[in-house]
Amino acid sequence: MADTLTPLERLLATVTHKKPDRPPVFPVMLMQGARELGLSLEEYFSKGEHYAHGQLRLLEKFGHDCVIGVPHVVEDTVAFGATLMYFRNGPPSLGKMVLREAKDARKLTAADPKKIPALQETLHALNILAQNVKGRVPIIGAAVAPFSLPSLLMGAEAWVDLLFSDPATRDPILAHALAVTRDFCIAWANAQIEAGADAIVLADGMASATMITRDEFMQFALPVIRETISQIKGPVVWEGVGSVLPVIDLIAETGAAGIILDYHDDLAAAHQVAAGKITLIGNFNNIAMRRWSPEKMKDEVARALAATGGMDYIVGAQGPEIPLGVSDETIRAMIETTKNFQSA
Amino acid sequence: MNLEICRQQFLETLIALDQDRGKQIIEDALAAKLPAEEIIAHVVNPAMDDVSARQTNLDITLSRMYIMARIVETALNRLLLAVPRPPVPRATVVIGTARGDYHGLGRRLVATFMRVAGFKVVDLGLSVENRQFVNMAVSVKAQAILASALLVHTAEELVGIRDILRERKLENEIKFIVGGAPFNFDPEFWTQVRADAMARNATDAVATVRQLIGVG
Repeated sequence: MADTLTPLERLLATVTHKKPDRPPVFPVMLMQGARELGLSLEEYFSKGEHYAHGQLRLLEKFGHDCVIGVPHVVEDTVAFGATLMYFRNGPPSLGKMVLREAKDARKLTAADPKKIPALQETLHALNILAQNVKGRVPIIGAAVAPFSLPSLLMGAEAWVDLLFSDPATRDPILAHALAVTRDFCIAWANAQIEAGADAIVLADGMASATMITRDEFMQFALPVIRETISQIKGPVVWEGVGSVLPVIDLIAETGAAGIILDYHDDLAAAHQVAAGKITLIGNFNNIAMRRWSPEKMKDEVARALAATGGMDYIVGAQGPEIPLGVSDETIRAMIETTKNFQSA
Repeated sequence: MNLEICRQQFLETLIALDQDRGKQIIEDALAAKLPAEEIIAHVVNPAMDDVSARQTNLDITLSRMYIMARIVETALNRLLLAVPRPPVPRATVVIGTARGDYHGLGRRLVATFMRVAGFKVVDLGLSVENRQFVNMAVSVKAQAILASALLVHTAEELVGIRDILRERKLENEIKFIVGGAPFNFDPEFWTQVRADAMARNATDAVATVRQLIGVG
């Protein structure tokens, strides 16, 4: 069936809970553009111009429904003084922890994201993408959510130790750290929107139900998520990077437009909670996907579309990134199966 | 105070994640002249079994598991100072996260479970080079290397441990076991990095190491 909406119109229909011509399909390809351009990942990620042209090349090649304006969210840590370590086969990591221990978070400060060279490159990538596809194809930005950013700076162990420590010691550190990361996240997300992003994904790996209970989520994470989303000047998608089913109802009330599911989350159950309130994205196992044939991908897409009826739903992976090892044919199967879907 | 009361109190403390109370119960037990080795056998080990069952049943978050393991680890450290003769370790293992990987919760859990199970654990911490794993394993005469990763690409690079073990003809002496989310998401992934085995969680890590190196 031929598409009758542009990718942006399709996304807008979906997030406003109207019936699109077909569901949007977002294979998030952050690294594949390097291969298209014959560059190393370090060269590709380090220059906004390279990254943007890689995204445009992938859009032309696959004909999916979005471009991603941010090469990787680890770059957010550079604003806190981190250096990056590059890999031949994946996104960079921190060279070392920025904070030696949790109590160092008392002195945490962040630079203005617009003044950080690495982040300026991302804004440049967004500018280029906007010049080419703005108003037609959704341009997606991303940032690490305020609750999870401290764990990148001090390590997950120190962050969890802090969360479960004596409240008298914990609360002042937590309050300062979250205020700094919240303000940074808002400023960085809004800078991306000014540069051309249509929506922002907030990656919140420490806040998923895999990591913390619903009560802990309500105590520690939800308030700062709500504050952050209320001040970002565009739609926000929340990504738990783990199971999110137990908190979909809470995220739906924050004003978030979408939520990315983990592959463990029951898609039909999630859809029951989310329908008419928040758009679901996912929930294909992006690690196992490296071994999927195109036929297996077709089955997975068919399963997801059957569970959701193609409403309030965007076809995509958990994570949500497609690893480098997934074949072009398998990625095409995700896109073509979605394009051929006819909702009831 | 007797061992049964101590066991019950310690378990309640674990469930409540009360770290200070956990320390106090162990101090009270030692003050009541309960033998440290008996406390390990009849208080700490059963508590760990309970944590393990919760992990297996997936009815506990990773953060809570981690804090429970910290309470157990603190208790164990205190008790090992109080035993008349330090127990002879079943074997030695080296553990760490892959280079570039700073996700250490799972690694700490496994380290604690291994120690409670009677292994000597040399923890290299976060972002460990493949060569460091092997060099340390040789240096401490470890029978196994346990490498953990959360990211696909850092997990993929662990294959370098196998290459070094092969190059140095250490494959018979040192077993190579991997764990972490990517290996759980794709149960065939461990074969790609040519590990001897994978462990799905901390409990499984203990069982896997025991089986591979042949200790009870």
